[in-house]
Amino acid sequence: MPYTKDQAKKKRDEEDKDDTKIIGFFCNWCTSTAADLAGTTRKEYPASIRPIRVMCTGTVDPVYVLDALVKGADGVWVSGCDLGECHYVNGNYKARRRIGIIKTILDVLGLDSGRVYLTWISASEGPQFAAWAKRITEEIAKKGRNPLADKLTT
Amino acid sequence: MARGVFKEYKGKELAQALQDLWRELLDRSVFKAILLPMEVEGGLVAPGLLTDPDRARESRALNPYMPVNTARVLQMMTKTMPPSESVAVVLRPCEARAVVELVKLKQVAQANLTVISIDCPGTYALEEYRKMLDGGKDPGTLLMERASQGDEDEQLRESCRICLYPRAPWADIRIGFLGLDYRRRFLIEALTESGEQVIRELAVEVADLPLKEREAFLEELRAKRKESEQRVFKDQQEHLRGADKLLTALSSCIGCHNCMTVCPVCYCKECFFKSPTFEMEADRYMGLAKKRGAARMPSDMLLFHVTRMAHMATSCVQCGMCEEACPMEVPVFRLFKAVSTQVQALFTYEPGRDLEEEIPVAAFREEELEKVQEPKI
Repeated sequence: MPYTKDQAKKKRDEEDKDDTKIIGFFCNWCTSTAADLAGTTRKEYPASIRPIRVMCTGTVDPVYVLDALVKGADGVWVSGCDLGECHYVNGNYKARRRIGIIKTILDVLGLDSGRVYLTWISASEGPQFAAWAKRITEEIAKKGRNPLADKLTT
Repeated sequence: MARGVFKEYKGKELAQALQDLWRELLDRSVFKAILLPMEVEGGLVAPGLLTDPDRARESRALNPYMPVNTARVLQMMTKTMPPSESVAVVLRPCEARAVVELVKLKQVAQANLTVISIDCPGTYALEEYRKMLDGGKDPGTLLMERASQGDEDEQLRESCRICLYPRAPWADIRIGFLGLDYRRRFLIEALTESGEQVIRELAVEVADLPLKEREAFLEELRAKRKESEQRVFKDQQEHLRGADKLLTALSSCIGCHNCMTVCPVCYCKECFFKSPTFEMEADRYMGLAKKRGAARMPSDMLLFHVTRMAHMATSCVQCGMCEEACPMEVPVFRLFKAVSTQVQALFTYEPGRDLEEEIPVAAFREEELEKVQEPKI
């Protein structure tokens, strides 16, 4: 049986309540492996992170980050190998410049650049991954919902 | 000190003296063609590729109207194959700066191309320019008189009123009249070896010229414009900042992509927003709508503008063509001006300054942007 309008809204509200959504772009070689390690060593971290594995942070086109924010994600977390340790030599340096551009744009437009995070977490740093996941979730939960999330315009 | 010559012209107007220069350059076969503003049918001005010296009379390098950024034209012209004969292109500073960016982005081929930039006191929007023409005035002469007295015309396009580059930072040859006795002579300045060669082919010797007065004049103009620029930034911060105000500003956007089409440094050969990525099944729109209860269609309006910023803010020359082309009065120029100024400051990068300066997204430093990343824990 389909939901009535009120039921559908209620269900949506329930789903959304307290459910901070953070889109993670993690590089294949370091942070994704660290996330695995956090899991296999049973480190707990919040379910708010929606990880997307990319080959390198250098492949994260600004449009992915911006699309996530415009479509209502509460935060975006880009993470890769430590500087100088990139599997593709310098992809993470390039990523840093791109994130720098994105954060500047968001600042000027008043769209809260604090919702975008850039960290370097190497493959062995499972505990650090879990710690960052907690910290980022807490900080973003404190900010509240992304004001773009319920706008008509995307 | 500058390398160049003064061209004296008695009993002539500057506009006429410039036409004579183009004629001479073609007559002497220094160039086989010159791309420059010409009067088109009906009296407006548009870029024209001039090959016949006798038609140099139809050129209008000084007319303060800019229908397109000519860097766009050059991109189109040299995309398939650069010219096999020597071509000169006469550009306003914002156009010359855009050409520098497009050369770096490998979208304009420099082979057989000589860039001649010309001082620019500013340009008018179409409506204003037409009004002046219909009133029987010569907008070029009027503006020149005002500008030479250091007087700013409030009717100029906003991007021109706050433009910090009335003189191009780079060109092969720079033609100057601001801060000089423009009723008597103008300056031909060589900035590159090939530029000097061109001047020599006019059978004149290049000399070192002191230009103290001109420098002082330009410095003063820049200071004045900088003040106006600050006012525009303040207005952006007050009226266009934050999710609600930003969306209000973009609310009239119809997604025509005119701003992208005319942008000289929107460099992608095929725009992402015209790619199959955005040919979505109806169900994807449904998903978008269900998520928020209702979604404006077509979707991705805000995304288009912010992504365009992320792609070209480092190279934006702030020519304001985007806003001229906008049929819906979206304040695109103010938004892009504010954003690109900050993005360029982040990398202390000045688009159009130097061909050797690397485009920020194509380079990196090991020690930089500490604030962008989180510390290690």
